[in-house]
Amino acid sequence: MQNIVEVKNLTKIFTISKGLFGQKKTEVRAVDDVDFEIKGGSSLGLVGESGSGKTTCGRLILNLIKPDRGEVLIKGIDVYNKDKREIKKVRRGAQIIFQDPYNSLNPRMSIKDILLEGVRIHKLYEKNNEDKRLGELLELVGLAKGDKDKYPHQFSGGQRQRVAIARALSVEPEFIVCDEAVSSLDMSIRAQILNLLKQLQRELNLSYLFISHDLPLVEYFCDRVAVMYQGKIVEIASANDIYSNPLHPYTKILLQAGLAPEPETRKLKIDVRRFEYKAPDADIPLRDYGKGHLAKV
Amino acid sequence: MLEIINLTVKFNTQSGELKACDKINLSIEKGKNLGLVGESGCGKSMTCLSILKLLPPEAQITWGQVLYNGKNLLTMDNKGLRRIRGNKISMIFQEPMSSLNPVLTIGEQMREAIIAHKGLSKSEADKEVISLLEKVKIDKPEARIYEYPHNLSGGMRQRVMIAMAISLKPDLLIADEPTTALDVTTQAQVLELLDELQREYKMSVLIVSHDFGVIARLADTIAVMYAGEIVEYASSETLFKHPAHPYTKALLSSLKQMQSKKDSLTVLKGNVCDLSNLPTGCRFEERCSFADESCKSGVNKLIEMDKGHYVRCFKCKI
Repeated sequence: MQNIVEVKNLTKIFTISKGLFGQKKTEVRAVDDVDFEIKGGSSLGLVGESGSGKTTCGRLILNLIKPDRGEVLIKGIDVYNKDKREIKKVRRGAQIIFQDPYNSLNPRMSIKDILLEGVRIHKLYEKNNEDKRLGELLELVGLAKGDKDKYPHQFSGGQRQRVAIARALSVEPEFIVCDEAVSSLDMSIRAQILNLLKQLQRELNLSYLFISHDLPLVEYFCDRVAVMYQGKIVEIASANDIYSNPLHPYTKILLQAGLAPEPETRKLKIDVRRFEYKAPDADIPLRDYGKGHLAKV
Repeated sequence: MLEIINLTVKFNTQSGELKACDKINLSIEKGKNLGLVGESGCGKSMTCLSILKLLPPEAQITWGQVLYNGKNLLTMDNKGLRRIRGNKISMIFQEPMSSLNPVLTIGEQMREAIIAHKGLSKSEADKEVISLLEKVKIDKPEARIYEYPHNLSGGMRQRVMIAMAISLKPDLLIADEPTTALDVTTQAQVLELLDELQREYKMSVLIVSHDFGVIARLADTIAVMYAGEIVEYASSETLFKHPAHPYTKALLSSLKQMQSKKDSLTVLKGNVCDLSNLPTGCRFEERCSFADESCKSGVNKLIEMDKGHYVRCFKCKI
């Protein structure tokens, strides 16, 4: 399988002003020298705590923000290309589904306009074929054809997230960043959306970067998992290896902290200090432990 | 210790009246934890807020009683309620940032309740605040009392909220989604802390969450809510091992399937029924895979299936 996404030495530094009139400046390395690739038709999970740089990483990859260093190739094309035509090509092939379907859809646009905006920009269909495409998209995500003239506020959270997925799919991408795409959804709807994303992956050979803080979810959904801590990837391996044989202490803590929906957990006595992790001062390079299992140990 | 009888809460909205809670019956024993689980909009939070009469103005308690040691809190006057709120029954909320006052230091806001209820002097109260912060495992509490909420991390803020809630040794702590805004590692720490404090103070905790993992960690008994009703009520053990209601079953089985990496998860079809236009018969009927014509009418009562295991389902009659 070919790599659809290649990320090399990606770094983003945010400067934060502190103190009176913002005189004191501190630097935060939100994404710090991150490397990974995603193979065509597979999913990479990106997990970590809030503030670990997961979302920034997803946005950098789609050129929604510019990095300070590093390179991202999507299907071999440099995402930070200066050539506008090349960028347009990348944008068509790579899409994003945001966390909150209440804020990510324009309330003044009808579903039809939301779904066809990208199609029109990229001139993918003749005007008279647009309606057919619209019907296909709605069907793909399980919405009714009559929904096309409705506005986002007329839908429930789960339906809105379906619209957001249909929007991402409208330009026939090969790679989608799912930034906490199911976190805001209720349990019963979450299963629907996950099934849909998996089904679309099989049918359209999509690749996902699945950003989430929910470890069991990522284990279920992804082929490979990368664990981020303070902007760095501390461990990356197949989903199986991460969960059955975690190497990095932080990964171990994350796994232990997860709560199983089992009544036995009530009786466990856990030492709280087990969940505290401090990164060592010296940076350890990612080392290869075989079978694509890399860890900073 | 606390008993909720037939609690019914209605909302007046533009599209008409809707029932947020419909004849909720719950009881909490001293020293035991009750978990309330359900999806957004199922009435969990409204049930909690009703206990202390903290409902928003659009909501009305139209029926029912909340008995605390035999006294009905719903008919109590404000003066009496003030003696109970924070003192005997206290509450922590989901978002620790918006429930702390941003312009007061941690010390100032924690002192407030202690001085009001115990009548201590400022310096005495400060001493108590420091020992409370120590109890919730905040390091350097002497310095922390001079800091503002924005100086603290999310987990620390939630710990301050907990410290505040336990400052008067309440009998009951209501925790409404206490860890939803927190990271997994912080969540584990906060839940552990709640568990420890519960044992030490012998208080009861009413824990509300949409996450079965959180509920499993703390609750002795669990009530599952759906569309304003309790649909299943059982001990934690029974509920996880032998769920009876189709809704509980579906939710738990999709969690299990996720663990075993099944290719597709069990999906509940459709959406939650409209609370302002409730169907007759079973409220879960449209989404239920066991339902048939007979589920569409009749009074759907909570039935005791087994000792202490209650289910609201026409198909579970035995």
